Amino acid sequence: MQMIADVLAVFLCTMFVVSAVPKIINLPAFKELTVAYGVLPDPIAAAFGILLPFTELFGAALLLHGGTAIYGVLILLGLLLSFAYAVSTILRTKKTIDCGCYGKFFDAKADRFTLIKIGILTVAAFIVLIRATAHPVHLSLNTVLLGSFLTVGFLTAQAVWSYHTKAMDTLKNHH
Amino acid sequence: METFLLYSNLLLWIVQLLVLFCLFVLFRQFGEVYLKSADAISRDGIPIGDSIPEFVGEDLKTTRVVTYKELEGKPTVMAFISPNCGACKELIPEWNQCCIKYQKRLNFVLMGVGDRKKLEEFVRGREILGKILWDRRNRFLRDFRVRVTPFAFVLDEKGVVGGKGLCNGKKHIEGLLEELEKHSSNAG
Repeated sequence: MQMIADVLAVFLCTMFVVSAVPKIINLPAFKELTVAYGVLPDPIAAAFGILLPFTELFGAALLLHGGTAIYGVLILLGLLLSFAYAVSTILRTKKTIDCGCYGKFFDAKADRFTLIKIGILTVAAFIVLIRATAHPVHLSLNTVLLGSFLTVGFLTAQAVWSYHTKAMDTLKNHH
Repeated sequence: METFLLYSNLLLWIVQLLVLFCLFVLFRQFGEVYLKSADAISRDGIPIGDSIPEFVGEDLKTTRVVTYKELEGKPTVMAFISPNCGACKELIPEWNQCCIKYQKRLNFVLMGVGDRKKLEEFVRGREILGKILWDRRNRFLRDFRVRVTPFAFVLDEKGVVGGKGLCNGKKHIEGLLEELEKHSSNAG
């Protein structure tokens, strides 16, 4: 169980790094996107858009150290809950918008898949949180490799889904 | 060695889940291509050249039982409709126009599927020319191999399918009649 929690910690860490870095590279575009979500008032959304990628990086960094892992995972859980709220609001209003989950690295829409993805990450974060209270996160080459591979798998699934939704849209419009 | 096996096992599970996800996506896309496209829908229904199956319907206007035998002797345009289908509602005005134009030489039959009360509501407040039969045995769609409504067949005077396809208006109905003429001349 400890090994699984360690792997999930690496998975969460790499996922959030992959998510944060492209946002930081094109910060103005991400800021515009958070405003376009329309969930928060514009000035707050703009500030959130600037702070979010750095918070993601900070949380991911804390996660890797045994003593700070709990704080890291709590930060990430907070972010995941805010993402879930934003995406479910978008789904309720039936707006079509980029999820901006990976900045410009991936062209992903805010849809049910995004919500499922957030759910999986939240479950992973809870497992890490529960284990981290009893045992500090311990990293080894194996856990790092497996956790990173899990992230690659997750990103591949995202790429496949994005391609699939585009193809489905084309087919439906063609009909 | 045990550690290696454990990690490789977990790795394979990740790959397996990814493959299953890709398969799900692939089937979903195939479904869209092969089941929902206009070409796919036009492949539905009794094949051209085959006779229609025996059926029993209830005439909603007279509550009389109508069988397939009553359609013989005159070519028939037969369209399947369901009360909740928006396109079926939009079809009715042009259906009536075709009815007026071709009623001397053709039977016009609407085959209503689904709940009787809803079908009666569908009919109420609308002038519908031709016969409208209710699927009292709940077998029309299965027996005629129809998946979507509105879908129509044109039958020759012996009840043999001469044309079929989606039927959203006058253009489609007249297209089906052209198919029937081609089929009749080929058969002749």
